Amino acid sequence: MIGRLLDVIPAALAAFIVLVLVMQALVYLSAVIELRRIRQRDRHQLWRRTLSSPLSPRISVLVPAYGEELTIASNAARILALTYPNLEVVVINDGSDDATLERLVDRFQLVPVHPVFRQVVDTADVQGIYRSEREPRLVVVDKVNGGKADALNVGLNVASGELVCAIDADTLVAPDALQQLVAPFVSDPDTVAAGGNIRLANDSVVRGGRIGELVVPRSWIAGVQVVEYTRAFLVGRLGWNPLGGNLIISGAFGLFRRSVLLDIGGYEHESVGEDMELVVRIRRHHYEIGRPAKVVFSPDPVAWTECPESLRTLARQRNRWCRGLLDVLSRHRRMIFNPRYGTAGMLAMPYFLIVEALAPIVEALGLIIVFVGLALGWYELSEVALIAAASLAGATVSMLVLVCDELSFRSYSGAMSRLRFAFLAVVEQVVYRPLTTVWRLWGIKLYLQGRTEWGAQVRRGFRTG
Amino acid sequence: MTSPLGLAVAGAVSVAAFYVALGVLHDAAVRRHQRSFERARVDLAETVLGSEDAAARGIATLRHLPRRALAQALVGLATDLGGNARSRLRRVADATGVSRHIRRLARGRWRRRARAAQLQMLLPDDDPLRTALVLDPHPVVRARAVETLGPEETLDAAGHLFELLGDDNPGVRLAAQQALLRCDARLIPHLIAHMDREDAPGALLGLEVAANLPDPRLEAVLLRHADDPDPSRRMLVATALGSTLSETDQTLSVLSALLDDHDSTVRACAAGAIGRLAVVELAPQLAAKLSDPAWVVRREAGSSLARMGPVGTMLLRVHLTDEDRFARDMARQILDIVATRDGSGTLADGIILSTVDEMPVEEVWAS
Repeated sequence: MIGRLLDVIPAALAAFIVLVLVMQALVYLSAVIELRRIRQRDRHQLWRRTLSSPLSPRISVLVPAYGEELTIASNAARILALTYPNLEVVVINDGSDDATLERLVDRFQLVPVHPVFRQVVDTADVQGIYRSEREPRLVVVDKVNGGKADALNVGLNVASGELVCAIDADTLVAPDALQQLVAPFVSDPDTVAAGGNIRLANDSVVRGGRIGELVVPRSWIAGVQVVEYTRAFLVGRLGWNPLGGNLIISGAFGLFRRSVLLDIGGYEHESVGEDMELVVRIRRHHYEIGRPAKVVFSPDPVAWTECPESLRTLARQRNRWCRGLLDVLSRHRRMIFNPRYGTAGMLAMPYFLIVEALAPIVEALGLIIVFVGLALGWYELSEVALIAAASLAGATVSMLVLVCDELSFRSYSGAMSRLRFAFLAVVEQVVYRPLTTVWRLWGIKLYLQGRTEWGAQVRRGFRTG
Repeated sequence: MTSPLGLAVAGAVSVAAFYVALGVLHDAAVRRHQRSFERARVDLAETVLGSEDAAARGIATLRHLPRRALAQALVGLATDLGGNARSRLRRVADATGVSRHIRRLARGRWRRRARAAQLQMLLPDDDPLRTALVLDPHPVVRARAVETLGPEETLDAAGHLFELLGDDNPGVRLAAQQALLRCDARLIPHLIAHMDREDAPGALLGLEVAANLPDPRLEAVLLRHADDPDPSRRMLVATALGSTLSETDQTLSVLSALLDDHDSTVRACAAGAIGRLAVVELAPQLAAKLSDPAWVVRREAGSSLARMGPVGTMLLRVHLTDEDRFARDMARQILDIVATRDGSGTLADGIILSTVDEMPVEEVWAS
């Protein structure tokens, strides 16, 4: 019996791996073609002149804040310093139990106004709306605590922009990023959402609200995440652009047509992965009503954030992401392999199910079988070396993505930085990837137990100089 | 080294080495370009602003600089300079071969033509290539060419730009609108002539330009569009009339009629325009709109009354006891805002203008 299983399991694993590789190859190929197209295109420098026009669509930036008394005032000021001409900033204090609201009141000389807005999406109670005497573009909403999704929904109700941009309070956005992110909306009326490129800036110095010089983080945990983010955004998201299967716009920096968000009832309160859930729901809604909806990833606009530097925080984040993915796949399971939902149903959702959700189970199973088999003498050491070769091949692919990044965006400078990244690409495959497998398995276990809490986030804040 | 592991190691090391080497070369190229660009900028400034002799010497030096850096410096300066200085820049472009380079680019595929469009400000004013680029078959080239036009050049090309308001590509239309807006009041006669045309392309966008150019000379042409069957146009007419700051009888009677339009967005824009003009005679009609079925019209009517000072405030107070609960509520909310408005007397427009779509009354009850 065991002998027959030993024969079947490797074959099944091999078939799964081939399927994953084929799907990934398709996305990688698509990403390379798209990146080439973008590289050949001029960099929209002069578009900035047109998109700095008062005729540009009004953008309301929604900034949900909870317990951010130390950083909220400077973060709001940084967002107000963006160069986009038709801007409104809506900060939503989600019932913070610290002095978040007071800090804003002091910094911007806020005065309460009557809370008048159309409550299109149901939310927790709004306790007050404040306007600044100094900064007419700023609106601050004080509300009863209801979570990030609820805070964003209040922002949707209060905002006056045709487009809304969700930005995490601790995300640093390039001064002209909105001009570039709005371009797909201006050039194609079918665009309903656009996401920007998120980069990690741990240990980089922030001067005057922008990154002075991007440096390789000192911590290896942050370093490998830089490699991981570069691959995820440059390939994982960009690759879906021409295939029309983009399902994720990062919650840290994304632009949406406000009317579309209101049509679908805003952000989902109950989901742990509310950013992916939102985009999947937008796409599903548009397929069901038979209206085109483009979700575009734009690799140029850059927002910076910091990633966790402790294994404990990172583990919590990754298991939450895993639960979020499973939640989205479960809520929208009707879409999977359903031709009614086009590329999203036939390609993107199956990809996320097979490559992202099931992969940790298969990887863990494979590793267990190999090591047990090695211990019991079923396999020889030379056969196990194949795993090491596969890991190195993965690292090589990561390095090729770094080469693409170098050719397109030249994010880092100096030979030492690149040497470190090349090394970190190997560390990512050999050390970090097995760890993420464990964290994701933990996430699957918690999801099956019905656990939906977020867990505490620990952030150091950017270095300023 | 022919084992799979050996091959994987060799592959990883090769790609890593390529990545590092590419980065180092890239860094060096960027540094070299930066140096050339800085030198080009300094030399150009001396050439353009110095004496004729200095200019001749400067041109001789600039000829030896890499063309990319020189073109970048030329465009950077050309954007900020006008008159004699720009003419001299064009002479430099001609003498250093940049103009020839632009013409070569303009004969290439669309990406090269887009680059030519970015540099076209370095060509003489009457160069036919400039018009050709504005009317290029590729939308990106057209948009780029339009973007780089200065106000004077835009006025010269105004006819073409008005045609581009009807372009298939939204990006080109926005670029044309923005270029026209940069001309300010000098555009008004051209705009009037365009809007007088029966078959004017992009008439809606022309009205949008008009709505952003506060000038009483536009009044007559706007009034002619007031009974257009398209509600978006009537909406823009109402908005534009509000920004002309002209209070003739004809304007007031048109705004009064638009206040009773069957489309709620038109009514809202008319209410807003009356508020901006602060026409006290129309205050009672505005006050009646506090009972309008559309929330956005009630909000605009309320805030316009608030802008009218004591008369508007008095009418809002009267409506605190209105039979209609929506009128009562709106009057109360607006009076609250008036009580907390800032020293400059501006209202919280962001909130007031929060939505413009029509909804059944029951669904818009918010607070």
